[in-house]
Amino acid sequence: MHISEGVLSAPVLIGGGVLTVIGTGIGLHRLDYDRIMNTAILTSAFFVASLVHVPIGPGSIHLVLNGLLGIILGWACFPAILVALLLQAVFFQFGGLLVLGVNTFNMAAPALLCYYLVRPLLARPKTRGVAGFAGGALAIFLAALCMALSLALSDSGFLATAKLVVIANLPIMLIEGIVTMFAITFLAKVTPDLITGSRP
Amino acid sequence: MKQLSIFLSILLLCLVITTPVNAHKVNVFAYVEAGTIIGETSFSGGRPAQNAEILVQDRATGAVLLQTRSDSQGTFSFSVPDRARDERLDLLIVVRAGEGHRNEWLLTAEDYLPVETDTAPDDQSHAASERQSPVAIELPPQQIALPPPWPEDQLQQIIETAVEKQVAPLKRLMLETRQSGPGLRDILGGIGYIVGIFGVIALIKSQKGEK
Repeated sequence: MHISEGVLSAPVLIGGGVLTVIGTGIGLHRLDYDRIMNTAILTSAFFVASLVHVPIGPGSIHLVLNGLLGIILGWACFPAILVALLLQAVFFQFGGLLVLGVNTFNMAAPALLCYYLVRPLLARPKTRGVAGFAGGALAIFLAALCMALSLALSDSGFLATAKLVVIANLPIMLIEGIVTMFAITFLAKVTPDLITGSRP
Repeated sequence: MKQLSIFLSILLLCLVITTPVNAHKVNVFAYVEAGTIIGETSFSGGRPAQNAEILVQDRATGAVLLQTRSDSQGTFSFSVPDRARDERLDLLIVVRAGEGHRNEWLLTAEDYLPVETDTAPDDQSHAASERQSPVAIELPPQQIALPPPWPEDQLQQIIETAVEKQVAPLKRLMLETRQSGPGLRDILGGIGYIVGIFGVIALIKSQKGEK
């Protein structure tokens, strides 16, 4: 899910950087004092999740957890993912510092979209499980599309790239869906405020 | 809220403990053996990058000299391109494993070309002049008189082959060491940074709240 240094063209890098700065600004503005602790812990989870490698399919895929972050944090997922990716770039050499903006946007924007799509469905216990699964899987699917788009804008042939990236990420979509589903249903039992509250 | 924090902390702890040290980066490593450049690509964790695109570029100009693909073991090999040999180019071996995975390995001209032998005659004449100089007289006479058992260029080749043979396993070891993924220290360090960064954010927020 991380795009390496030296693959993307300058306009894509700058565009991704600008969007990430805007998203992070809004995210920090909306992040209130009580939720900073949770944001930090989820950031750590995201930071570590990328090391859980799933040896299925042709490429190299791993857990991302952007759906979970998006659903719980809302706009705050932007600063959370930015910090986690920065540290992954520094410590693990995943991605890179120049592509940080693009990578952050590719993972955070789908997460945010899932927040708006899935959040209303979490209030009712009936739809909660399905919504959690859909959120986790959709976030990965959209992130794969964003990534394919960034690659395509720098190179050519969106459809071929998109196909490849989405197919490579199909197993992880399933796994993330299940992980997110269990996490959300569990959180709904333990701290219902977090899940059903209108504005987290 | 407290329960949530505890739950999330446990989740995090499970992730840290169960984390296998492998993930998401493509590695490339190349070395020379008897005029052939041999390379290996893999994702960190040792999974070979199969059928990855390998580009051989001139480092100075970026011109692509050669294009190949890795096999099912993630290895690739090609003979040194003629142009590179003639112009003594530094080769940049770029691996593109798709989905934005990219890495490169630099192979300088000194690495893949045999050591220049132009200096050899100089040495000989230098040695010859020394032999006539008074300093040379101090050396035992047999050492000067004996001719080398092989012609110099042949001897050099023999040594080079032998050294290459001995060094090959070391190169492999180096490759494996380079590939070892992030360790527990990196992970815990990173989490420490995250806590620190959000601590700073909390501090700033709290100060704003007071105003």
